[in-house]
Amino acid sequence: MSSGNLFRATVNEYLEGLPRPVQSKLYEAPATCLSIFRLLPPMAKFYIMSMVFNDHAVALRDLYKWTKPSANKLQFEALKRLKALHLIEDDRQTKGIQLNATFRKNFRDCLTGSQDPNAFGTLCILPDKNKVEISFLDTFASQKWETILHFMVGTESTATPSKSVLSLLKKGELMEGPGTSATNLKITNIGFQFLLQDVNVQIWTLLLQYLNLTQDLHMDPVDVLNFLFMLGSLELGKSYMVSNLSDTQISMLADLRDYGLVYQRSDNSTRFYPTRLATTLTSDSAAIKTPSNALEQAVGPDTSTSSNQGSVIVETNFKLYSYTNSPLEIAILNLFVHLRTRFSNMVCGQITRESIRRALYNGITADQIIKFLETHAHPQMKILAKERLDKKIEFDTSHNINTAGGAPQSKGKDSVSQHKLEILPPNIVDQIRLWQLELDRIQTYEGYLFKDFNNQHEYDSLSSYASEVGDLIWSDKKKMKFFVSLSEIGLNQVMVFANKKK
Amino acid sequence: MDAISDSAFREEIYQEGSNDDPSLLTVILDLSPSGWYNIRDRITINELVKAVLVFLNAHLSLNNSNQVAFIASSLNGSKFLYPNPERDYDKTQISSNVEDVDSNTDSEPSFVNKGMYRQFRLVDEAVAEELNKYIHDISSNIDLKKQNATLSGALSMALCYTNRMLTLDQSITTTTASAINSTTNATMADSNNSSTTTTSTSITSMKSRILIISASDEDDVKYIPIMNSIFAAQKMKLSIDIVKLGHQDSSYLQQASDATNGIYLHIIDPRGIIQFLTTAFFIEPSIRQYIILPTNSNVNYRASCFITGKSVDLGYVCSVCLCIMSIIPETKMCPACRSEFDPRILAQLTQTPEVISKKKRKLDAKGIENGNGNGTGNTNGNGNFVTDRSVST
Repeated sequence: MSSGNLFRATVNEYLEGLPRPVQSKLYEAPATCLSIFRLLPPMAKFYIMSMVFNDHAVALRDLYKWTKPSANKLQFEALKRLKALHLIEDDRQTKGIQLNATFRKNFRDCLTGSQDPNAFGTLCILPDKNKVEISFLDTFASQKWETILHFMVGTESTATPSKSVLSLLKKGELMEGPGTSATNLKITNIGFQFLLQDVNVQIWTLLLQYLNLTQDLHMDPVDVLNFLFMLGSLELGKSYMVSNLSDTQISMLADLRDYGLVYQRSDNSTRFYPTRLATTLTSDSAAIKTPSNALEQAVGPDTSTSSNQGSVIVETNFKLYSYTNSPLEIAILNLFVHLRTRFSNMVCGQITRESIRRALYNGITADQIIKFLETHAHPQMKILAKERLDKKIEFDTSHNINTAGGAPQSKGKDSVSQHKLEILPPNIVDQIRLWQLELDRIQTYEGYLFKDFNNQHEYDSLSSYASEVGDLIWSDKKKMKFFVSLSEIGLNQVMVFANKKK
Repeated sequence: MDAISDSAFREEIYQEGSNDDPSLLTVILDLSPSGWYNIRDRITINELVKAVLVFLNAHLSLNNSNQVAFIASSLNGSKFLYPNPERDYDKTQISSNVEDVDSNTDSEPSFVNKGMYRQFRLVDEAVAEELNKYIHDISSNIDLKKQNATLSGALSMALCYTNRMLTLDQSITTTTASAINSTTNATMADSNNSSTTTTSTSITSMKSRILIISASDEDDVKYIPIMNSIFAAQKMKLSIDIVKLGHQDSSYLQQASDATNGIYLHIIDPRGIIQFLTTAFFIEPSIRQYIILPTNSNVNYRASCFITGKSVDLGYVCSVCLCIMSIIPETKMCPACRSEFDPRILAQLTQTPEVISKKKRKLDAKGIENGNGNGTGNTNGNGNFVTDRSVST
């Protein structure tokens, strides 16, 4: 699972866990509607969009007719998510479903542009006397964020982040230690995992902790969330008025400034600037590649010398070289690489079974490691990978092998992506995955065994239904038995289906 | 055991398949005046554009890095309304802030609200403004001689743009305007050029689709360029969706959507077109494989003659290059590949119909009815005599 999905999952989980009145209060802000919409899976987005301009309830049966049977699982997931967020409501009269009225109104207004003009922040119309450049905002944001990360790794001679940040780190179990003094804190395993993640995920992890904290402080979570989502839709390099914010939001500004999300010249300045960290809050991993890269540049080796994005070279013999002298990056590499030598501008190491296993035991996943190596790969590796890919495609086209999917009906995913861009040597990627599989050779599923069918037909219809739903784990045709996993949708569906049959 | 691991892996693939990469939507609006005149009692361009702008907003709302492009096409040529390299998007925004009352009363007052989400507003303002200019241009200089059907031109522009956006690095394409700037810079300076090629290795791929809105009922679109664009689209794996307004189906547009796994809908009553746009035409490339497309399966696979340009139901086919002809060319050569036709077969084909019908009667004496049918059909003379027999060299 990519880190982008991870951050979605955490945010979504939080939103789904909110009580219903809070959720419907959230939907009163158009900016929040837009952001929540963006966090949904594609299928759910499609359903919402088809219902936004439709005032009538949609029959559930019609909804099922839109999709192919192979997509049943996706569909269940989408509907489940929408129900958990209370975005769709059952309509008793027609036995259909309908969008949440508040959400529909606000989202529609947002699309047609007829919402409250201040919903997306109030721009300062008067130009600022001392203009703030985007580059300044970037350095400000990265410096603030860098301080936090460096502190976590324990780099010497870095400033200590503010008290509020420290308490967040402790509350999120990213760091632990007796007392509140900064010197006693030590990074935890969760903290190391945190370091491997995308900046966006990191920010959300902290912000969610922050949200939990606000509930203890009796701040209105709706206000807080609305402000966060609004920040995500603001424009980089523009200043916004403080005066239109609520009291809660104004008190948040100081904290957000500590994280580098917002820039304010002084405490009582009437305007604030969102930084890149803030404006990409609600975008997914693909979109934040730019800021994260920009950040890596700043966080990584000397900002001035290295304009390239990555510095890691991995060879097919499991040797790894990284042109860096940043303690942060070296500390991260040390999590899963057996580092051997360190020079003034580079470190060498070896990826070994032990080093990877150590990381895996610490809760870091193989995918995280691979993703990290890919995003931090040296530009030269990327160029080589690209050349190889081009060659492969050229070879195929010259030998008339159809990889481009010339046939219109080639809907299968496999035919679409026969060749992938392989930045890392494939043997390394496979081996890291295999090392992870070594650790979990047995997978356990909770579920139900279906057996003692009266006839073959009954078995066939039920097992094929279960596989359509996507929860069939094992089946044996001869013994007429099959096993269904215990995800609530799956079991319920199969049970209902089975009862219907009887 | 195998079954267990299989199902676990399958689940993983599912999740990968359903993740949403950013996607590019290119809208081509066919503005040929006659077509819109024909349906003036059903929908005006103004109404349609309002719906389309909301549709564009909806697309942008899906994902932060989603992009749109808007091309208008008419008899005078096709033009990119958005993104427009000549337009400085930041600048217009500032100017509209300063003189907010003026610019609002000037152009479309109803279309674009000031407080709109920035991404939406930039696109909507640009499209509305440029479209006004464009329509003004059309109405001021109608050139009756230049009857080029430019849909094919617009389509190839869309394909070119898509291709460029697909190959550009994700980090450059955060905003379209900057993407254009960077590419123009890259063509200017070689050093820049090399830097863009080095960074053009993005892991996430952008997906794209094209939506054509056409009201034109005339079927004299240039067949060959359109077909070429369709094949290019197939290669790029982008689907072409068609909104057909007006009175008749367009067989070429049908073919375009059919060949590219797109959606073709002939909307006879275009009131409430926004509902059509947000349901039937809102199937993103990422979920397209899961949804039963609301498209019409009765596609008219008509081709058009290479010589006369008219569509044919039955015709001659060159056996070398599969070029389609409704008449035998006077040069006795294929107009496309210049291979010479076999004179004997040409002679056979140009024989007077009576001879063939007599022969046929001799061959199957029992099929009298059949023979009669042939006879009456073939008495039309040489020029209109059609057969699907191929001409070999």
